[in-house]
Amino acid sequence: MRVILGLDSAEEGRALVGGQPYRSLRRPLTHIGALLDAGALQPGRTARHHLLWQARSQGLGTRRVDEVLSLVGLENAARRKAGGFSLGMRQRLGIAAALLGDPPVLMLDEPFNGLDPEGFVWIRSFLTSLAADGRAVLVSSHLMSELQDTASHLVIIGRGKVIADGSVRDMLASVARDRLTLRTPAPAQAMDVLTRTSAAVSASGPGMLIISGLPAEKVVALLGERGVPVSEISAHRASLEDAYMRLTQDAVEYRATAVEAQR
Amino acid sequence: MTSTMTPYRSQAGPGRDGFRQLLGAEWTKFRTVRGWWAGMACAALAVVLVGLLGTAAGSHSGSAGAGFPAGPGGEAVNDSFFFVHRTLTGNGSITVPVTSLTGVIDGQSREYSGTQPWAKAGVIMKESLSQGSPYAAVMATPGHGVRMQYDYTQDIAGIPGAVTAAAPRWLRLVRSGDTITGYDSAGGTSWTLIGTARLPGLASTVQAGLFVTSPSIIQDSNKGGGTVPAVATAHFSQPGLVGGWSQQAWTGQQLGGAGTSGSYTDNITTGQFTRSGTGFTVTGAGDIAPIVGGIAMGPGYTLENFLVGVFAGLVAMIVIATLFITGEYRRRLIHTTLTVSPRRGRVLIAKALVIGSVTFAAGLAGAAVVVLLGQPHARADGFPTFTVPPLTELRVLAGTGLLLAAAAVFALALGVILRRSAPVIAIVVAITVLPYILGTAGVLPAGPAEWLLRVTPAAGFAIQQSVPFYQQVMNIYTPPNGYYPLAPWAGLAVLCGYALLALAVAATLLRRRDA
Repeated sequence: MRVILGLDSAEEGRALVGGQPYRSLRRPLTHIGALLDAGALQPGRTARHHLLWQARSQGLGTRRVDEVLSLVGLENAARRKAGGFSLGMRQRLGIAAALLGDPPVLMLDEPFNGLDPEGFVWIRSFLTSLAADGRAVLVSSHLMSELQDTASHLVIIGRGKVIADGSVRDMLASVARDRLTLRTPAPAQAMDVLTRTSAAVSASGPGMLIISGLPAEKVVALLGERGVPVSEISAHRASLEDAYMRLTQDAVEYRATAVEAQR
Repeated sequence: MTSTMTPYRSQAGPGRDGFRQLLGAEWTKFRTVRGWWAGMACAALAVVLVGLLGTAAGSHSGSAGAGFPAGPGGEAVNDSFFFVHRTLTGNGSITVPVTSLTGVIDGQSREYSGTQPWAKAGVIMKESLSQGSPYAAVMATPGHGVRMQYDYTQDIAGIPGAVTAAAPRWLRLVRSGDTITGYDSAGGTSWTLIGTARLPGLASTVQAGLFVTSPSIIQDSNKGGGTVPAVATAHFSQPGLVGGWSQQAWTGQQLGGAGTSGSYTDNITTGQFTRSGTGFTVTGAGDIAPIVGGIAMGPGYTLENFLVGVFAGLVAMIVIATLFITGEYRRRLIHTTLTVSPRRGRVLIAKALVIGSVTFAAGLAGAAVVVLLGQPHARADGFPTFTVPPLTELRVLAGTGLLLAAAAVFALALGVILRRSAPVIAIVVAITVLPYILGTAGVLPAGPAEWLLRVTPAAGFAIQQSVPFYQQVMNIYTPPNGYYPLAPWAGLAVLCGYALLALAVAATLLRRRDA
């Protein structure tokens, strides 16, 4: 992201925004808005003034500043010093700054950090509405569950390499395929029965098994035959986390650290 | 997002991201941090308060409201000598040999014979007896031969060598309209023209005759030196007069007391003249010369004395200018700055212009206020204030603003290079404020002090020097006395050189380095 914004020079290749290197853009905030670091602000400056100097540099006035403040719901905190803001408020302020130039492209680094539950709900719908306007919204995050609900396209990067690049729907579908969740009061027996087939079975919680490689009817029939009680069987609802784990399976070394980072 | 969607186009409306907008952004940054503009106001206040405290040293015996006499050019002058005179109307001349020039110096316990090298004995034509009136004179001196001097600041050398009984000096002044011409001669037969003084609008009737005066001897010391009273006595043979001289007898009187740079001794408390068959013997002390700063000025305040608080304001301004950029590095706000304005060299220039303008304005305001408040206050306490021509005053006040602005830009540029506050502040204070204090406080010998004020950014303080240098006025022309080794604008240029060099390095690094 820093390379795209012309802050750092690339070791290899180059980054273009709308076909141009960032440093040659005129009024760059009208091309791309970015939130890299919500903590990057002068604590003594008010939220409004923090946006005002950025607006001035693009020839924008106070009206636009007030507009973006109300877009992110900070109109009541506009004249408060940004140093006293919670991380969540700083995220909103950072997003407001990214929106100053009303750009077609937004690039947000970890925008979910520090948000309260209400903030999560707000930012999901806000980002979705921005995308619905026809904007490209690029979000980087470690919070898979948030991305699952908001993102349409996913790029997974590990150790500086692109591991996967595709639509979230395809990725989820690839993981969810022929996987089942089984709830049973006798998981040990069920496991015993099912592992004798070609199915792969794993426990995913108390009384919960995940089965792949066997259709649901076959499972029910097998367990019925042996008299193992079944409480519920359903198609497994895949999560982005699962997809991530699956996609990074090859890089075993990496997986351990990546999982660590998510906690 | 599906590919059927129309790409979004910014509705931001028209606008430019030119240099003016960038300046506006940097100015908005500065004015929206209360600590910075309040700090800048405090810095200006420090200039005023320290200046007023530094010049409020009790009261002086001088009469309230008294100033130095002003010469025809407006400069402060001493016009103090023992004058034996008659009136001369219209054109005319006076010719007289000086046959001896001796003196008495006030020693620690006893007085002994000796002369100040710039003691003066000669002939003078002066518009009136009032202080600071135009004149022209030719004189013998103990240390600098014969001189022709006029209107206080002008000095032309004549025959070298001292006056003795064996080698008297013949002096002559000739008035013709607005011009007075000076001649000298070793034997009274062959005359040499020394120079011609043009005194526009010189009154038709002038006071003319013989004069003797002597400034005090100035002894050097680091702290500025001390003075030793000196009195001169000269013997003149009978003067030869041509032209419209009055028929009254010669009148002798001390003009202008002993001035700022002269003093009678314990035993010789006043000037006098005696007339004998061979001529006149005249004793006098004082000086006819421009007033210079430091020890030779005596009690009183120069313009730069009121600006003694500038260093305090400078420290505060260096801190603010440094934080103006290092604060951005510390809070990673520099990323935002370089994202909204990717043309980095222009960002640096805009920042330098903003901090430079703010410090210039605050410095100029502080300097103007302290001079406006301090001068009447000092005069009310009986201290004369050294007045300088308006252009010099403007140079000193505006130069103070420029000095502070250049130092602030220097700090800003170092801030870009080092990206951290503490080392930048330490370095700029150490090479700008410290040499100024060491150099001017008399802590160091004159040599190292002058060297510091020549090569460090503290050279910029030379812009504040309002006191003039005259080689014909004995003084200790060293930094503790208010004399910088470089000319005002040359000194400021040294500081600006540091600032520009740092700015160039900063611009290169800012462009090349990852933000």
